[in-house]
Amino acid sequence: MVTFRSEFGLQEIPGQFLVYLKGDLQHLQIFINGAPAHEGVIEKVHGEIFVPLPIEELTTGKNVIGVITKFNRNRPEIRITREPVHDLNSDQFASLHPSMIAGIYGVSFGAKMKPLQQKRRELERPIEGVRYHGVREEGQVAAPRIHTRGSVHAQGDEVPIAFPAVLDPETLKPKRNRLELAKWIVSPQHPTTARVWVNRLWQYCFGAGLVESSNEFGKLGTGASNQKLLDYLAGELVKSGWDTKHILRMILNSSTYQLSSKGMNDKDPTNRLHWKYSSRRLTAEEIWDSYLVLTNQMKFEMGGPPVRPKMPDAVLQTSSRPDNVWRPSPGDSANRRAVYIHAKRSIKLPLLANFDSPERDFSCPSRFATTVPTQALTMLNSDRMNAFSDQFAARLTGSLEEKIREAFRLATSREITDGELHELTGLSRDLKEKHGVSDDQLMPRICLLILNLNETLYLD
Amino acid sequence: MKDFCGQTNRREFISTVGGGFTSLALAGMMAQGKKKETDFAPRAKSVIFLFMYGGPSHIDTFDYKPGMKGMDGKTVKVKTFGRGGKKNEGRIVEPKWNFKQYGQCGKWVSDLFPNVAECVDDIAFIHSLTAESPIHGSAMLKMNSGSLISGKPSLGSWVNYGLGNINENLPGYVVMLDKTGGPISGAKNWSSGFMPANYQGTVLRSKGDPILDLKHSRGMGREEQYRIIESLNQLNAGHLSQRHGNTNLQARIDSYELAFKMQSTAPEAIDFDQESEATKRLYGIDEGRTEDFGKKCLLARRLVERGTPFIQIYSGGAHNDDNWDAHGDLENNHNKHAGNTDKPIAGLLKDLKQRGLLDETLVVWGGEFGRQPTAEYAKGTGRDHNSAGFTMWMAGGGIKGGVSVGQTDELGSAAVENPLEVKHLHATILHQLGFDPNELHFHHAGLNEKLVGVEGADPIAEIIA
Repeated sequence: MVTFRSEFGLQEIPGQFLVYLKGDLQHLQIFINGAPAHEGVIEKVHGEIFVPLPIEELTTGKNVIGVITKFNRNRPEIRITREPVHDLNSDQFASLHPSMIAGIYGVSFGAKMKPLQQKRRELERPIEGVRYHGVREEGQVAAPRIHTRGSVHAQGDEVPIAFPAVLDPETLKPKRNRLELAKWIVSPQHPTTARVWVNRLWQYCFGAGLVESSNEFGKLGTGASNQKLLDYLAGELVKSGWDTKHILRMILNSSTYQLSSKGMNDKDPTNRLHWKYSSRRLTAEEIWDSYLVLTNQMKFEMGGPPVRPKMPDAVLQTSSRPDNVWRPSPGDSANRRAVYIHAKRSIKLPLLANFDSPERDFSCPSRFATTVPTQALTMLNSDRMNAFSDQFAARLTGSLEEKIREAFRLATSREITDGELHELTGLSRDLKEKHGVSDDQLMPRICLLILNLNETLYLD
Repeated sequence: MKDFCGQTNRREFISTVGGGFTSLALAGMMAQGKKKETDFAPRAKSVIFLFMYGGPSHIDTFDYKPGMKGMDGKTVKVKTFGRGGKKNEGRIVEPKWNFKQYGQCGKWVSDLFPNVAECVDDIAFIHSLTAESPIHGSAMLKMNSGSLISGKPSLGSWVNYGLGNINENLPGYVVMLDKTGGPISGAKNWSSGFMPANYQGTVLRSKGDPILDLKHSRGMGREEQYRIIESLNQLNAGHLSQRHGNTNLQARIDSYELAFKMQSTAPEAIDFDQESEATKRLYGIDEGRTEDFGKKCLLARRLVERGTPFIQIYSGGAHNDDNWDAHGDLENNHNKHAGNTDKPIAGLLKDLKQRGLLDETLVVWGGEFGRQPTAEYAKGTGRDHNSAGFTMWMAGGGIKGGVSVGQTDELGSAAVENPLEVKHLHATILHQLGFDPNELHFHHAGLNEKLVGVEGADPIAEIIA
């Protein structure tokens, strides 16, 4: 089903109302202002049709026409005439345009827009080099007003543009525009910007920032566990010309980052002082990306439109439009980093949703890492995970033992111990002898287990 | 870590760290089913929210307007606000069903709900609800999460957060959708918003596989799967032994055992074979049109018996006349949806009562808004949306029976006596579960967020027993 909706204005109610549709049409339903106006079964491929419609539902001013057709991927071309016309052929109808056709929006959408869109794409093609996002002030900025109790309709006093004086009363002379705000934010003297950013980088590496409340550096925040370290890194960031990679290199090359996660210490059980590495669960996106890499399917190309990996049918059924809410990307084109997965608020991939990928409505300062049985169900039983297991097994070579060693090494970045190998060979023997698992299914089973290991999902 | 088990400390703890790292361990622990204390003794242990998606017409169901008799077709001055915008006058569509008095309380109920009508002495009707938005998407979010804007945790998430997610064998927040599809905005309606994902609703199906991925997609046998979990846990235990005290790792190990158990407890919950024929008849499972909703209501009772704190069942899904959104032919639409649900809902109330479960189970009925007294178009009986005054009802869980609170005007166009907001309904639900709605909060982005909003709301005292 494809739904098409268009608005058109009428100064008076016409004597007759005729709609012209062009495109792939099958099982046509037309609604005028929400009321069913026409329904009919037709079969037209690249066809044309004239549909006379009742005028009772029309109103002066804005009207809405809705068209539903089956199997039509293109927007049908809709024209509406308000003059009495009889027995027109398409040429005659086309000749009505524009004087006899009511003012409608979206006329000849496909035909007119395509060349324009093409031209726009050409104009927007990036120039070689580094791209930055930018904002430019244009014209006079209107003086903002207080909206009483948040209502757009209740305008209160005028508020001149300025920064909150509480932040920095000395250096803050009245600022007039966003450029001055931007300059202030990244000035080397700014007390917070560099600290906030290096704290985020620390959080990405260690799971928690030096200031744990990474969105709150003020009175409501937790304060820094190591203020000197935070200041030092912030200074380095400014000195390096705000070079994020420089800071990441410093952190990742530090002995602190390379500490093991083993051990327990009663004096600092939560490890705020970093005497070991606090193992952290990978985020939903990191898990997705890891599995694509482990199964040798990851496409690392950057940019481009978002992708839609296959959504389980049961999840599609939770949508109010199960048939067209999520069209999967063709072939293996969806095998890209999770950051490229189309973010749709009403429907989410279970593997991401279950592992705390955040809602998109608010800024998410740091991730939760919840553990519930339904995660384990998806991790063991889902079609997606078992497909990953097949693909993981398919890249392994050699004897069963060699395959197990390789899979374990790829997933955990270390050699398997004798005890662990013993466990897995014991498992494969049992699966084969007691549970009748065939030889070609043996390694996918073991891969499924390896993909489920805590050590695979946690950064130690 | 034992300090965090008491609820006050737990909440303060979350308040202090926000979404910070240490709360990760906590979220893992909370998922492990530690029963939390409530603010005061709970009257209800479970909530069953019967969501009539699309917006049932209050004046055709439970809000009796005898003065409208004989006004059909008359154009009157009345302010309405629906999807068609604001209007100042319209053509009356008089209530299309006859009303009769029922029960000790003499409540007037229309012929759409003859079975529910038999239970009016257990029901408290709220006739003066308002919902701020007359548009489905935002009004749905309002009813489910207390906010027109998406991103807030839903009611079921708040309940499970408050209770500490006590159920291990089954999800604590279960959503059953209509067979035509989900409501508009889909998962947003059972999202945990800015709370951890363990508080999000789990979609449960009344036939086939009840929970997503409950069965192995390639048909792996149970014993074989157990053998794999055995080895998995063995390797995970080795990994944990050098990191002991890490509750997150332990929680993941436990979750596989629990998932394995759930694979038998969940199908058992939807297995109606043990139910008597009389029970099935009570829910209308023996009749074609009521079978689907009846099964969901029966499943809800079985989940209540198994300790599930929050269950939501949708009547109506997808778009247009697949739900209660009667823009075209009011009679057709409401006869269909009321006819599909009346007997199952009454069956649920009667069954809960005869088993002594109604006292501790709060049943909530209603949609995201009501409908207008006037016609939407020049012809026909279709009514547009009305969020300025509509009816919902509650039963059980310490709610007074046979009472009505609030009133709309003589046309049912707006709440005029004791107007109430959705947050008052939410406050009442939380209160019956033992929570102070103005205390239950979650710290997010510098604010102690509450289901009832930062301004707070009191429960509807008139309907609490």
